[in-house]
Amino acid sequence: MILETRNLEFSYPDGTKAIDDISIVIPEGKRISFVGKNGSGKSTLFLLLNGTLKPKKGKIIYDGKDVEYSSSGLRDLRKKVGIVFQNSDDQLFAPTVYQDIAFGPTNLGYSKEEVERVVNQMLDHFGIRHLKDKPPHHLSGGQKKRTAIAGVLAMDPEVIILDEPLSNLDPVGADEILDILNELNHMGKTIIISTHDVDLAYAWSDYVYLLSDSRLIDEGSPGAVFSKEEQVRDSSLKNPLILDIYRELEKRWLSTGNGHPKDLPELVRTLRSIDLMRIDISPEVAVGQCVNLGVLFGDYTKEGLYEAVNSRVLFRNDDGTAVVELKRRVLRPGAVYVYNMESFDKDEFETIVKKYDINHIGAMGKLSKDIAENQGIQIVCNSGVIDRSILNAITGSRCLILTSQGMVAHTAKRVRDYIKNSGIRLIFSPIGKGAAEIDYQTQAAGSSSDLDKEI
Amino acid sequence: MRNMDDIALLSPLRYKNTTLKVLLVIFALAAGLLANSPVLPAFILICMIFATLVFGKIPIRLYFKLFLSVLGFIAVSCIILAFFSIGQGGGVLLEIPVFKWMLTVTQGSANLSILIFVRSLSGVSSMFFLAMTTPILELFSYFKRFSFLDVFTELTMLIYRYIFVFLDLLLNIQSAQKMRFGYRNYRSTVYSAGLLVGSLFIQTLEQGDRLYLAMNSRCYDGKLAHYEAKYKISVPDVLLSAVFVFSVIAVFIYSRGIQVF
Repeated sequence: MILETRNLEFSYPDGTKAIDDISIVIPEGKRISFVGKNGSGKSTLFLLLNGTLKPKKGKIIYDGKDVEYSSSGLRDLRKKVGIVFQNSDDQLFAPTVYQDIAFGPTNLGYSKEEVERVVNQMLDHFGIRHLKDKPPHHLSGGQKKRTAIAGVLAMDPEVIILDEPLSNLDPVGADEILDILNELNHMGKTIIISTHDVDLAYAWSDYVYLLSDSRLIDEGSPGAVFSKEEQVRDSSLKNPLILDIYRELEKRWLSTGNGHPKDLPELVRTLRSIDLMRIDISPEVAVGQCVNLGVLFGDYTKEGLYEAVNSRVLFRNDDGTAVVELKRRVLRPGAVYVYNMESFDKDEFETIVKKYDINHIGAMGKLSKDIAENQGIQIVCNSGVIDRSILNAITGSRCLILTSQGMVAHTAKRVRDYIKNSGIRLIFSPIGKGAAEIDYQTQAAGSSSDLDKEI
Repeated sequence: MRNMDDIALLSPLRYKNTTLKVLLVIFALAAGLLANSPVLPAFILICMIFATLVFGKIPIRLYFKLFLSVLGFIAVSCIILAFFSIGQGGGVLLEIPVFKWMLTVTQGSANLSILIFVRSLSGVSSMFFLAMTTPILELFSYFKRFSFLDVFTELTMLIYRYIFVFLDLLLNIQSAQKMRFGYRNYRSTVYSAGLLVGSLFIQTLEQGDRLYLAMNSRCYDGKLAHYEAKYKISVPDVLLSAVFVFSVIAVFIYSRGIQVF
């Protein structure tokens, strides 16, 4: 419980009530979304959490202690709870990127050398070293956002609050910011975002708060909050697309199982339980008879690149087609590998690509994308990399995910969880010296004994 | 939209030492002023144009477009100056009768006007060199060294940053107004311009609030990080500058007294 509010109330000087009796408890190290329409009080709540506004009633508790509204108390709070504004131009006020990132550390009284060290670290981490002498009006939207986050992270806060972090960004830029947020979360930071993008809140967060008209309507896991359709509609939001699709499929008996698929691979997995296919059939085949479909590949397979498939006719249509139930045997499983770009070694990399017969390379995070570009590596996929790699592996591809330090463990966890939960036979392993080491360390630390190196 | 600062930010000479550039320009300005023959300013003019275009990689068209706008003013003033011949010695070069008066150009006045013309141009080219190769940021950090008032420099830096934000806003509002025929006649122009200024004013006030909020939320304690452009002076730079300085001095010595007329 890192941050807590009790019966928080706030109204603006003109009398409009912006926050009405909100009590929340934010657990440490989680990804949290505040969802609500425009004007539901998200931004005001964030300014309250950061101590920029003072509540009319109620209190804010940080790390078990009441927040003091003295200048030193506020300073402590603001150092721990960093806030990234929606409009980057409000946030980036210094004339150069370097100065902007240095602003926080300078005001925290770091020595000159310390400031320089921190800023350089941030510049490298966010892949914006080449922008360091540029004025903010020369940056693109994504670059501005990255700089703004770097400026906040430079103070090393424990909680990072982002107001609409993905608004006004192009899809790949948004994905990069999301990668950064995941990485920060993996480093142990508590990430709080506000959004009215229900798809984002649903897929990304661990915990969701639903706000409407300055009040807290609901809270819980994204699956739980978004299953209450009426409540979501009443808050002027809509259902997450993926959940809508799942419900429609479920009504038609096309999918079962997982009640709240979060991303494409999970949704696809729910389609598995009844393995039906509509095929053309000759008139003499009767219901209940078996038809050998031979070897299927590409889109028609589910677990491997090639599958030997037998089928039994369940139902015959008048138009010469039939619905059959499939029995599959995988001829060769697909694989996902993850590689740490920070310890990139050209020879090692080329050997890996050859040896493992890699045919799908994706890159995650700005840093690894930059390195890949410099090294002339052809990247097929640069957004939604983990999902896409899993999907491709299911259809038999050998996928390589290029990423940097902090993301290796995160990726490994995501893929392994998927393999474990779905029971699909995929090969997964971190390869290359850098990745294997990190993976070994995190596994040892997490003592997750049930995971073999290759599943 | 490109402005002078953008040009400077993109120029390769940006990465040269600011002190060296400032000193060179001050030297060139002083030499141009001290010279009594038009040869030296002309020499400086050529050097500066060469340096700006070749070393600074400034697009030629852009450079001369800016240069011509200044040239016009100077040319007109100098032609008029040539007719101020009273008290200037030398023989009469040109006489134009205007009704019962005579407009005369003498040797002395012609020489003076040419000297001033070339001098002004050499000054302009020197300043262009500095402006087109040194972003304003670097100049700030340079002035900071002379312990200018911190408050002043910091305010200037904040203002500098938001000039561009508001410039964008201004252009956006203006095109929104144009799109709906806000400037179709005199009346509507005055009205729209008034609205534009008014809304910009309110926006600046609000931006001020937001700025204060943004600074506060990052523990503002009255300190703004300094920007230090640490561009080292390389040996070729020094050599080239030395060549320039010595040739200016040489030209200064040998061109004394040389006049056009």
